[in-house]
Amino acid sequence: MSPFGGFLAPAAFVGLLTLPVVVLLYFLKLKREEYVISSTLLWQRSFEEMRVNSPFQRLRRNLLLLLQLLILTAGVLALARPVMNLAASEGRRFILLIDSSASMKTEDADGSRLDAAKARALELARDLGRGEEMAVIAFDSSARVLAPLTDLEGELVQAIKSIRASDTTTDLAAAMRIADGLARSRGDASESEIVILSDGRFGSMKDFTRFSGGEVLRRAEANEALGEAKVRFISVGKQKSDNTALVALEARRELTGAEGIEVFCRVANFGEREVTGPLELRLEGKLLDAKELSLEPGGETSTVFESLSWEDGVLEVRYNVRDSLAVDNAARAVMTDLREARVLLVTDENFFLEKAVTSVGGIGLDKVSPKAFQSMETTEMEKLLGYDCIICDGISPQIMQEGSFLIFDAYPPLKGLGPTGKEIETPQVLDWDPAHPATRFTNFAPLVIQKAPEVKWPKRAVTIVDGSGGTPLIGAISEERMNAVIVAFDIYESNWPLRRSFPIFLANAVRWLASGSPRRARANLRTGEVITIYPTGEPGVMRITDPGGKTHKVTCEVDSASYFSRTQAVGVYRGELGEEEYVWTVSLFSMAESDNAAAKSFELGAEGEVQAGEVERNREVWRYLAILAFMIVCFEWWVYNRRMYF
Amino acid sequence: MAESLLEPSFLTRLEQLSLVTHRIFTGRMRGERRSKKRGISVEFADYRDYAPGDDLRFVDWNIFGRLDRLFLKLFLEEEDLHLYIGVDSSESMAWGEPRKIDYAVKVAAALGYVALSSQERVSVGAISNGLGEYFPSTRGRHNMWKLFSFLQRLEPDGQTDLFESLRQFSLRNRRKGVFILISDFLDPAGYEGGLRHVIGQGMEVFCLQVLSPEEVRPQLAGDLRLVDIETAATADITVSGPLMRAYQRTVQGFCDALKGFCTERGASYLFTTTEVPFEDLILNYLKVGGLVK
Repeated sequence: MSPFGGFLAPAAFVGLLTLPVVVLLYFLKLKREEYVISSTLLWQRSFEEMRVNSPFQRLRRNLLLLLQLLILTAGVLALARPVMNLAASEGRRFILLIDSSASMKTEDADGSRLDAAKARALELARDLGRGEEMAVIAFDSSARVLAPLTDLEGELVQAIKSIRASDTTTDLAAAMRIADGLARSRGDASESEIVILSDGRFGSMKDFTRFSGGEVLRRAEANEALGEAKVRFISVGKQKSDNTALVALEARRELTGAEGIEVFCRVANFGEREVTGPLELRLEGKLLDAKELSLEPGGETSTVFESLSWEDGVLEVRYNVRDSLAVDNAARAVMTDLREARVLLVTDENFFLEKAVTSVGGIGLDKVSPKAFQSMETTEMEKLLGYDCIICDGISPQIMQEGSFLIFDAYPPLKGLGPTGKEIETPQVLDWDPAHPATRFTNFAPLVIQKAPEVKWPKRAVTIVDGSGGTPLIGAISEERMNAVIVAFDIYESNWPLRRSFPIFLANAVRWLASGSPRRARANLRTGEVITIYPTGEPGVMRITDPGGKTHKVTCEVDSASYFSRTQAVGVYRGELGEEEYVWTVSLFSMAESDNAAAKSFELGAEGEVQAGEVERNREVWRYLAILAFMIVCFEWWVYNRRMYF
Repeated sequence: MAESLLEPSFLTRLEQLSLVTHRIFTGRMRGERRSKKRGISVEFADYRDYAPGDDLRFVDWNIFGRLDRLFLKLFLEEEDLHLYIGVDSSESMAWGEPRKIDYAVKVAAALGYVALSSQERVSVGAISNGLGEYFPSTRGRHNMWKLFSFLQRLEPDGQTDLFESLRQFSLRNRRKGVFILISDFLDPAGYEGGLRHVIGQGMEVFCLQVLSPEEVRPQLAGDLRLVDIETAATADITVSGPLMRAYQRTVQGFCDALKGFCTERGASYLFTTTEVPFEDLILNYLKVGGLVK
């Protein structure tokens, strides 16, 4: 295939009509000055001699005309915008992946990185050759196909222009999967090129695989080519960062047990110069505290605001310095999230358990008898739903769709779970999972159990402590909106209550369950995370106002969670349902986004390193023609001035 | 009048010069020039036996006394020389600064004066498209004013036609002598035919080619339409290095061809431009060229 890609503006060839005009002008131009001499005899003879000696004399005489015609031709060709289709044989389809994550908001040079990426994408879309197609995918924490494979330039341009930067992290893998899908949707994917327009601030793609095993098999069976779209990476932005960011923020009750609140935050400087500025803490806009904070280049520091009185509202910490990325200079947290975990202990008389539970700090404990609990389950379910964790001793709750449960020596009515009726004599602790939040700082090795019932656990159960009887002694089961930790033996049949691991395990388990309780739906999220709503009041339509002031409607039903996923912007989201008010905060908290020095390459699975480059295609050559025309003009001037000697 | 043409001091210097001829011509009157004829002069030539009827005045009586035989003393006859001067008065001679015609007239005047001073016969013809004005054969220094006024009256006119002019000149002047042609020789029809005429007539021909410096090294630039002053013929040129070099080669070739033509036929040739001071030409160049001594 010829590398010549045609002309983008063939209409300019009308300009060639000016060539005869130049020739005409050239004839008109020669109004020679008359000069009387004694005789033309010798001149005539000179001409004859020159004609004999120089067959190109006529040509030489018209050298200026030829040069002028050349200049004009080069100019007209340049105006016709010829293109060299340098990659004509490869890449008939282009799938643009345009990064719209938070780091793309970085103001490098002119405008943001996203502006630069969009400008480059528009160039590519406008350079689209005949028979070529392009798709546009924008990706941040999710990927969206804005334009499917099409050759309609207008559609592509509109799609590219519609991209807005969000405040979320970057998930290139999701975008790559969609892109690969698009590439394969038209047969051989090797005809396609995936063009990533990004600053390279995304997570590692080292483990990314372009094909699933099933795909490989299916294609092998169907005898299809396993072509892969080529991946090109166009890096936008500078390779230096001057950004500072709040990378963590946590408001918690003071560990000392005092009534106060402390706010922990972590600030990082990703730039190459020292930064100094005030770190301000505000509650609902009111300044509570401020600190002067200096950060070394590449430095990171943690700081704590202490002894704050508890007040309802949204805390905001802001590091007031000027940098290239503004979105991560502030982080927020909802104070209401810091209320005490409410724990219900259902037991008759269990000395060790009661003692251990009451020693867990920072929780509000209620105690009911199993009987009262059973009646509450039928009459006051709503009240039960208000607890963040329910500890059941020897009794299992019957309704377990929602909530967090720590169950001793009883088996909730969960699918696949139940005692087989057999008993295991002195089961040994084989192993325990030290990474599980409930087993931190514990040692189950000295645990001696006299007997334990043999329990059949469902496959989805997570073993916390494994016993020698072939079944776990302690396990955890998680469902969509339910977490349960089940201790499958009677603690009185063991020496566990006397071991140090018992109160530690209990405290760990209660804290973990209470914090993970769907009831305590997290109010402080990262961008792109989904807000889970548990309406506490009447069902209805919740109106959620995002930080931009836009209102979204979410339908809430009783006893069922609703979800809101449009958390692309950092800030405070406020929900309103009847008289109830809900507040969520969304912050970036992403090192990958905040460390915004643009990358020049990245690792992509088995393909190895993908270097930043350009899409070499349809390069316009008018510049070279213009330069050529200019050079001929210069040459013409030189010839004109020196023609005495030619 | 004459003063304006030639300086008196220059005339004095010219008087010391005389024309040189390589051949001996038959003169009409006894003059200062050696003749082929034996005659009355002081220069002894030969003896011969007396024959009845000889002039007894030439008998060498001293020989008769010694040998008792009659011998005639023969003396070389001294005769006058005929100098013909052809002055090109075509329009092309009006060109140049100073005008070539002015230069040619001065040369003609000087040579004429030299000849008149030496008791030679001088006739001058204006040469253009035919034989123009004619200054008939004249002898004696006293006629120099006539010659000068004739020359000063010459004005360039007409196209050069050397052939016709020289043909007419030859028909008019049957007597042999020295013929000096002062011209630029720029005749589109060529100078060869005309010169053949005069050479063939037995004249001792001397060609003096006068060109102006502008003709030898033209100072031109740009796109020009050259107009021939005589024929009004035009030549469009775009002045360029190669063209100028070609022109100079042409001029050189033209002069060389004329010189070669003359040399082959026993004629003399001298090239000059109006740049060369006229006095220098007469007193030095023509001496070297062998026309005067």
